[in-house]
Amino acid sequence: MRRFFLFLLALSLFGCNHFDDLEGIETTGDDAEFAIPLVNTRASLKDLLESLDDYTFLDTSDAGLILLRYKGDIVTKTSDEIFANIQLALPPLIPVIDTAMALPFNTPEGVEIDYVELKTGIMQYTFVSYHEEDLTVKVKFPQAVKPDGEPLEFTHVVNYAGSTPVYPFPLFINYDLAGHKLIADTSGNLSIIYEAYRPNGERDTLSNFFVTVTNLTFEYAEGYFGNQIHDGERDTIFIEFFESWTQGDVYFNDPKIYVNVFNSFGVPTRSIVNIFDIYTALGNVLPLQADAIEDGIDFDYPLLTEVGEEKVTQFTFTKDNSNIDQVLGSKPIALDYDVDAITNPDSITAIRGFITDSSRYTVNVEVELPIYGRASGFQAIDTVRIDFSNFDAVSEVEFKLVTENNLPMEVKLQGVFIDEQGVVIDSLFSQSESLILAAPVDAEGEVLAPAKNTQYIPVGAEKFDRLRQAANLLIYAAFSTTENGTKSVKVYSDQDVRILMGMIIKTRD
Amino acid sequence: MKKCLLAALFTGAFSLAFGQSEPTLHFMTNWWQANQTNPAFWPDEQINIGLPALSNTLFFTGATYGDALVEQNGETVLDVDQLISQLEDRNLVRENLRLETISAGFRLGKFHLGISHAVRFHAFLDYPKTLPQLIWQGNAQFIGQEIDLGHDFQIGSFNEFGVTGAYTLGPLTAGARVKWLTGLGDLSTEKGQASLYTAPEIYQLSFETDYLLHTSSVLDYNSYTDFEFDANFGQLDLSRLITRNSGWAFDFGVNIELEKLRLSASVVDLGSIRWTENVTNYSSQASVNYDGLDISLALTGDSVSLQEALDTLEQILVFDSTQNNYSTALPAKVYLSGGYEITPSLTVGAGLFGEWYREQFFPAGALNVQWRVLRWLQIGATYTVYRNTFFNFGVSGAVRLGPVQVFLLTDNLPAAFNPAGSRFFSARAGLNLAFGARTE
Repeated sequence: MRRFFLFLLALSLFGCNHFDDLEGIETTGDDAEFAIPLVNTRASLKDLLESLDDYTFLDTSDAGLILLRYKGDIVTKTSDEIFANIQLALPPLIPVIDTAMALPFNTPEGVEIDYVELKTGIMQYTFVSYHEEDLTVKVKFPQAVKPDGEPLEFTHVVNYAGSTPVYPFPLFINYDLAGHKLIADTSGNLSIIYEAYRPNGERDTLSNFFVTVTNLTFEYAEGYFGNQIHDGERDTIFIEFFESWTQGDVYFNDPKIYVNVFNSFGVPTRSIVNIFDIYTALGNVLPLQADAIEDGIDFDYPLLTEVGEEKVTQFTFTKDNSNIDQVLGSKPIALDYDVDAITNPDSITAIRGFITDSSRYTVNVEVELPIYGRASGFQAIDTVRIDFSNFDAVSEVEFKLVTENNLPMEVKLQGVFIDEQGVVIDSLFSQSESLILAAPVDAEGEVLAPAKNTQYIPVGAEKFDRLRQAANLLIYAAFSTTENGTKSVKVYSDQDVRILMGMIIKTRD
Repeated sequence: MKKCLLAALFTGAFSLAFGQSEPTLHFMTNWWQANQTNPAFWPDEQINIGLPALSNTLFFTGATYGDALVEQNGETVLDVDQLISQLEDRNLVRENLRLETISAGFRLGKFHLGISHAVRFHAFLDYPKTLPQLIWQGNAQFIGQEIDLGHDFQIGSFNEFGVTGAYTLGPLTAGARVKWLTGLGDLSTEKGQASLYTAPEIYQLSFETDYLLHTSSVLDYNSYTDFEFDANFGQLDLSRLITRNSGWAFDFGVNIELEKLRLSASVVDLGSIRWTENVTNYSSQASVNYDGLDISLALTGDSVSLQEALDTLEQILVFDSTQNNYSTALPAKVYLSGGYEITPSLTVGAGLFGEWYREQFFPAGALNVQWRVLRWLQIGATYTVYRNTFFNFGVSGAVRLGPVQVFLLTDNLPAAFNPAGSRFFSARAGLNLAFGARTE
């Protein structure tokens, strides 16, 4: 088409053949400069921190102060273990060798069970009579009460048929103990009594009398349970805030570590701290020191009148009762802890407690870092993949950065461009630049007014040519609170920073 | 994209054109082709047959060929900066191309009858300087300004089948022509409003459009980097003589010859074409603001690429498309002229011409002299004023060799000698066969 019209035009211009030159002609002087907006965003520190790992939670204090929380695993212990020990206390086969005898419970050392309510259980017993006459046998369990409140008793008639031994019918008497209560006598025993009567009313004895109890589970137990250990298991809380830290100082004004215990065992319980160490970014291991670690923490427990309730104990390590401000001011990256608990730590048998089949002991540990403090040159490093290879037409660029910061925090930035082999190609600035200025604060660390800043970041043609080889940008960001970290500041959840960036692209033909 | 627009504004512009009254032709009243400017003009011969002929006119404002093309390292290159610097605030490109295949005219006593066919191509582009500035030089120069990108254009071609009738009554001849038009292709704006504001803060962009572009068999647009432009509609293709795009146009004229004085008036190309074949309408009526990417989520770890920002910008130039038939009007022209025969071989004339096209009026005025140097040779000269151009001298030459007539003319001879410095080009060449006694 174009050739067609060029031909016609050539005719109209009486042989002006210069217009053929326009076909595929090169151009000059068409280097353009395009100005486009790149970034227009607003983010609070809370927004930035909210995407941290699953163990980091953001909270705000009543005053709106941002709180970083790092939570450890939740450890839960139930009554199953204790009940299993009690169940094992009863031998599988109990020979009844006297007409009245205490059942031989072999409870763990120091455990005294006063009273239990059975959830399940099957009792079997049998006996033999060598008497050549009929017998009437009464079997009694004086400390066992049936669900209807009656004492547990059985009567059997053993008929002599001309030969001995004589067995009861059926041979094994089965009985479901579900819903029964066992109330120990004053000596703490459960007993079995049998009475065998001849037809003339005289008492006699039986032979080979055996009792078994199987599938025994408990709904409730009361007494003194001795020193049971709740193994809290070892856990580590990673504090991601400092994960990318490389240098600088941070001081939190009021860090805390919470030990939260939820206890529905009706038993006095106290902590045993095996390990409570803070690992720092410098590679040090600093033990948390506090009287509570040495002496243990007594956890609240429900009394006998509070069966079914859960008592909550929150113990807080603060700078007033521990060295927490020192260990958390040292760039902590992890808290390693192992906290067990022991029941009846003072072994006072007079304190009778209880457990139920739903009793549980739950403990978790939280680290709380309120964004109230100061930082100086707190530097983090991150790597961003970049690729300028598709920008052949771009000769140079100039970024314009506009910030309006309501946070009392300054950000200095330096970027280092490296190639695929990690070789440094160039840097963004000759030296770190303050791109975001800190908002000024008053004596209480409260922000007075936003800080505004406008910065032009030129990337010249030669530099941009070098950057075409770059594969990664290492970003070194240094954060300092207002007045270069010499003053403690408060960061609230509604404070944010507005970041605007545009760029002018200069193109080449 | 740049290359494409370059072609449209410069290379393409040369092959397009400005209009288009052809005053030199108009004053050659005794030649068959002058009948195109006034159906009452009729040569003296009984039978006139027009063989294939060609005419082309081009006008544009702004840089000339010589301004924009420079030598650099032994090669001719287009200096875009120079091209743009020569542009006016608003600029115009006009092109009119007429390829006549065959025509014939017959004198039947006082009645005259004629038939004709031609392929016509016309183009019109009215654009602000800021448009090429934006495309070639970018928007950075307009930071803090709202720039007008509004433009108006039409590129189209069609077949013209004409039947002409005239009647002579004494000194008066009145003529009329009916033309059936079959459209070959069209690309035209109905609404062309657009503006761009680049904010000074971080160059936020505000793009306002009220745009409606029609196309028939020319453009298939998906995005500003993905479109097909089929410019072959301007070619002569006998298989495309009849299309579903049709329309009608009319020419009317009178000519009075009083002794040595001749007076004439005519209007031509009153009509339009209804485009129904492969029609697409691209529209954009939007106010789009692009303030940059919100990367608040990305600040916490996700990546954001520059390409993503550029892709978002591309979305600004998104058009809705429909398939609704539409019509375009032909550029109507009016001719008022007179001539005086000083001697039997020397005639002088003057005329006023006007053209209405795309809601604009293009006036012109011309003076002419025709001299029959020899019995077989006629030459002429024309001085024309178009809008603000005053240096337009046309010439014509015609040779009669028995029944064979050959002619060549231009409305701006200086352009032939200085094409690099000219903004107005015009030429027409043709060959006729004329039979029947001439009345001297």
